[in-house]
Amino acid sequence: MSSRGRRSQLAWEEGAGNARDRRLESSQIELQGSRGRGRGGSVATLVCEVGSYASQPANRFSFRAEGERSTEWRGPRIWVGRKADSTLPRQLKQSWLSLAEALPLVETLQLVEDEQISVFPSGVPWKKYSGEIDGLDVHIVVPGKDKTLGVDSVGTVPCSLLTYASAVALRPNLLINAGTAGGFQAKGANIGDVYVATEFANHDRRIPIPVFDKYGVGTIEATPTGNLIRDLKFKEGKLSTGNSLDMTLQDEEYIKANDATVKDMEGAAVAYVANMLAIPLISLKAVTDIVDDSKPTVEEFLKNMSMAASALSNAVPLVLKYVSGKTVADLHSS
Amino acid sequence: MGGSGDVGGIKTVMVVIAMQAEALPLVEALDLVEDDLSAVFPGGVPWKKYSGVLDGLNVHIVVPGKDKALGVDSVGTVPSSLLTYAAGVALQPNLIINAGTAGGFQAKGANIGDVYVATEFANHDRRIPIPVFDKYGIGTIVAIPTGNLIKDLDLKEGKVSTGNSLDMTLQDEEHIKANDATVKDMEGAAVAYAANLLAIPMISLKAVTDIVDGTKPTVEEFLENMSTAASALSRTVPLVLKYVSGKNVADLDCS
Repeated sequence: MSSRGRRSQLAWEEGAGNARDRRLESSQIELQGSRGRGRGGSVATLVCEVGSYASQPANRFSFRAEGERSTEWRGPRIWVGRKADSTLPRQLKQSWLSLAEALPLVETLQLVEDEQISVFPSGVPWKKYSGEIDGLDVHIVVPGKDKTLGVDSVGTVPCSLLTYASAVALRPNLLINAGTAGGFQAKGANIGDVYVATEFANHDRRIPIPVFDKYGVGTIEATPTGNLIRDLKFKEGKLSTGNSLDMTLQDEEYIKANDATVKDMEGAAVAYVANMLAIPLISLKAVTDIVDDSKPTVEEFLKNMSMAASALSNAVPLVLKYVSGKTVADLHSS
Repeated sequence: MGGSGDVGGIKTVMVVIAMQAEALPLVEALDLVEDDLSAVFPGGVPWKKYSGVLDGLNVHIVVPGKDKALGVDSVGTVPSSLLTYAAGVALQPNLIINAGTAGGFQAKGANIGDVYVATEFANHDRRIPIPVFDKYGIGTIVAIPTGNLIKDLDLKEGKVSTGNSLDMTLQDEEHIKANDATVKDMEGAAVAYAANLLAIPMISLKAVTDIVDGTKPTVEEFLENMSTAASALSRTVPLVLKYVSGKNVADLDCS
């Protein structure tokens, strides 16, 4: 990963993927970024579209980055940049993409949205940045800063709106939600672990009326990805979502009933939208804090944020390369 | 997006209602017709739309519909905000009305059957104990002022606090009290968030089904009074629609 001064470079690898049948048309990844101040941070959506380069306008995914990268970040980073001209990405020989928490990256690099292709209504704080990875077209989407308070728009409502609007506009074949989460040591979670979610549920939607109670929990099974989990050596476990960073006794009771290994603030909402639009979803959660230990959540989270961010920034590119050219069915042992 | 209808006043209103049981009496009262949504929304969404004209006003009622897995109304903040966003973008109304049922606090003067105009929205179940994020979690949004409407239609007014649970834990209660809420519901602040995002003015009407700080259990009281409250809405919403038709949003407030 070379530093190029004030202009960063988009890179991606040419590799075995080129030779494969690129039937996986596109995937959309949501990254949860954080400034180290709150779980979930902003959500970035990477949309990867495999397709014939010849049919894509070559400048469609141009975007530019300016500014030095922050020296605070020790992990790998996204390098994004403007294509020098309208030549096709295949001409780049050496490339990689590594991912860091999207929001500080966006800030640090002062990424600029491609104004010519605005897929969102004016006035929403959401932003989209595009590039290519291993033959996939990638769009990073973030919900942006709350217009009133200036902090990342965390939580289920902003995240689901962003997912819906992005998915309808970009029509990905695969959605990937990647972010940080709390983990339960009683279920085997360690700080830095990356989990693929096998199931999603909510723990803060209690509606004690028959059938509505199940609806509130809103369990969704994940797209099966046994091959991916095994080949990339991820852990797997159930994810429970709630809009609070803390955990009341009732939350804890519901999380336990959900049999969750990891706890976050957006996952089940992304899954809800993906399910509604029938888009397969892979959810990757890196553990920043152990919920069922003695350390306070916020403290542990802030301390371990960058380690978990590094773990995620290694994991997501691996997943992108793994899925490129495959069908969704290929991701699972039949 | 939408805009306040300054030229020619309010012409198109979108009414967002979470539950079928709340919506259908109103659909009937207004003689609206269910629409084919294949051109408007992506395939697979459970949302429904009913539309018609009332006194020269284009009226669309949108509901999040039945959950595909479980068949119950898609209540709660996520489905309603998605619906509000998608329908808001598609229909570009001049005004959004969120109509629904709510719990009321007798300590704040609420009675069963009252219809409240929300003066402010906040969440009570999004606790993020980090500076600034804490305020963000609460997500207070001030409603557009509608003093004239409230007075002329003789409605009550109060703050709405929203959470995704029908019940109320001690923490919820603490946050609801901090929000100074008169009524408690499960969608209001989320609809307000989406409307705010799209810069479309919104009026929220909440009919009280149960007294939260009373002695009767919530679920029992809610089920018992659901249809009373739905009737109250089906009388009040048409009055509001007729009142706003052709006016500018600014007219709705005492200047």
